Amino acid sequence: MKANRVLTVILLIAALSLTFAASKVFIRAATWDVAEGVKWIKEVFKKYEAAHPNVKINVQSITQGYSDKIVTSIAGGTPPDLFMWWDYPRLAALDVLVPLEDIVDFSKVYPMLVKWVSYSGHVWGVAKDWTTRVIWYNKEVFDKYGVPYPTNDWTWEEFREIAKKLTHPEDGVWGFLVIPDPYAWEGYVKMNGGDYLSPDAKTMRGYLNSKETIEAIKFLTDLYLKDGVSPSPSMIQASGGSYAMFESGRVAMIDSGSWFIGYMKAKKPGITTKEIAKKFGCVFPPHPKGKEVKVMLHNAAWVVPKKAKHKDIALDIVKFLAQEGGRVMAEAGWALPISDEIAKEMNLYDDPILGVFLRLLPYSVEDPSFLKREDWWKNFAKYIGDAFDMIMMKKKTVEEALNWAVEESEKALEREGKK
Amino acid sequence: MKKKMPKYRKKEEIAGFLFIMPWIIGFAVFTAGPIIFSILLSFHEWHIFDEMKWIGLRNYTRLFQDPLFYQSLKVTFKYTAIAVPLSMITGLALALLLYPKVKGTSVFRTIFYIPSILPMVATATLWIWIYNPQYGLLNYLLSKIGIKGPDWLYSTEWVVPAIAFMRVWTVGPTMIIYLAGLEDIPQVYWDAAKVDGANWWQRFRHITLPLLSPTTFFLLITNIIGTLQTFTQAYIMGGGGQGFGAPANASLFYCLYLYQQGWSWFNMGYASAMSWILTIIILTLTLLIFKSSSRWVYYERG
Repeated sequence: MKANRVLTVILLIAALSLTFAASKVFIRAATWDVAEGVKWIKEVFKKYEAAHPNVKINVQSITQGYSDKIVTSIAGGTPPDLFMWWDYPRLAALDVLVPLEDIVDFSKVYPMLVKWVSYSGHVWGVAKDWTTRVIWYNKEVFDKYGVPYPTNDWTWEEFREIAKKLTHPEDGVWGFLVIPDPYAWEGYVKMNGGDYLSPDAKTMRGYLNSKETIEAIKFLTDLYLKDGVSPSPSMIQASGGSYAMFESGRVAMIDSGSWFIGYMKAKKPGITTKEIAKKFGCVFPPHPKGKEVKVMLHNAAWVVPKKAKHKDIALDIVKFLAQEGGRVMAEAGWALPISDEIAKEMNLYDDPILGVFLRLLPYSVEDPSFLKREDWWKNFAKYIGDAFDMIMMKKKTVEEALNWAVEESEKALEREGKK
Repeated sequence: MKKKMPKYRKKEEIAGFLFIMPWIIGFAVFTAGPIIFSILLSFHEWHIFDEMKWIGLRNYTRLFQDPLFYQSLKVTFKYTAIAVPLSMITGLALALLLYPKVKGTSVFRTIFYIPSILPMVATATLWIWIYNPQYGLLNYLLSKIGIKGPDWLYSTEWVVPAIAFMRVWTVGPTMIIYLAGLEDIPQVYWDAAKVDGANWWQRFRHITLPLLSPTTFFLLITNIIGTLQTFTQAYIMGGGGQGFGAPANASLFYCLYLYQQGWSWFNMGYASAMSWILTIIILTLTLLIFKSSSRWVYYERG
């Protein structure tokens, strides 16, 4: 008798959970974000789940070897239903992503952010968050040495002078961090009228080694080689990274994105940008005299693989994300919204820090090199990076190194029969 | 006359096979399978998602025209040439120091072994600090004796030696194997030599070293194989954390380049061809050492 009742209860629970499980669709969403980043992604998805009670979105945070794992899962036929990505040509060229231009309504999203997820005539993702590259400055260091804060209209020459004034080896204080990085430096090259690649994206000859590009790279590397305002690149890593050096006042200025806000939030949960602005400021990167500033953008976006198990729901989610416009994360003070409507509604342009990122967006580079070729990293950027290293180690002059990179890249293309 | 196998033997045999079955299946599926697949892959062009395209020996011919392939070989051999003698000499020296059974040797043996069980990522990160050009421990010590140390990890000349010096840190297993080798040598040999008036060096040179030669032989081979496959240190430390092979490919170890070809650039065929070239190199070196062993390796029992 008693056993019978127990059995009934068990059967009932089993039946209930079965119907429950059957009615729920589990969606897998992969991100490289961790900790608080994941928390806000989940908050956004909760909004979607509230409107679609039959959908449950599981956020998987992959911290080690993100792209390897995503790539293998696609190859194995079991990719996440949607995942974060940034290097679209690499996957788009392999025909594994769903093009979104006919599915998603991008009218609310900043046109620049749509441009930066486009490759070969298609739009591949919905921006999750983004940042323009700015110059952050530590106000305490400026005050200590009596240097006035920089303004958005500063030139390369002014920047150089300020960096020199802020360099005080006797106090262990540097003016700026020179970190050779083909991606980050493309903005400086473009604002000087130079470029890495030819407009038809076939070669670097005549562009990477053009007068304008050489001038820009000289400006950046001379800060380290001639003016000595920066420690060596290896020292930065060994000193806890640029943010640790910057926050503690061992370096006065850094070229970076909005991630510094996240860094501060991780140290002091709940800190607002207004509070951060008491000690730190940010301005536009300097520009060559008489020319307009251009900056690189970093944007992560949600993409949907063609082999997603629940492709329709995943597509519905990215549709929702384009409409949501990044409101949840913006209101939490975690990320910049992807929609100008929301930025204006929240008066973010008046924010002493976020306003700078927003105002810089229209000055973003329109045709970043990595969006021009699927083999950008392998056959071009690799050699640019090597050239930068050789310049920084004084193995080659700027002209020699960039000429060398052009030749090596040409040879690599030839080996692959891509000439 | 052939004797028939007793029933219980047969049973035991079946049981034996059953017991090693998990391993055999595991080996077939996870090791032998991929090995065969990678041979096939090395004759194909394949970018993971597209169709595999048979291209014959093209991956190999392309490899021999690739300057980065030669660069990565150069880096790896340079590392092996420094790291192997260094870690074997250090391992032997430590073993000799820790061999005498006096109070506390087991404590010291443990202490010297501990760094080997730390994850390589942690060790590499720690050494990035040691090599910091301005605040690092190493350059601080050098400055005490009036030497201005280089920017170890951001220098084409020093980055490989710097990563090689770090191998001293993980010398624990070499030390333990040498200790085991020493334990095998009967004490009477040394005592007899002592009675005959041989000094410390003579005893070491003519008794310890020859009797340790099988151990040295084993360690030489395993160390060379290990160093030729170096990956993690280079991945973490290149240019002080500035990325693949930084600075300017001076730390582009072979396996790093292989990984980059395969996983950053999806050239799976090319990466497979690279791994087979490495296999052939390792095989050749091992055979050469085996061949030479008859001249310098002594076995007690003939």
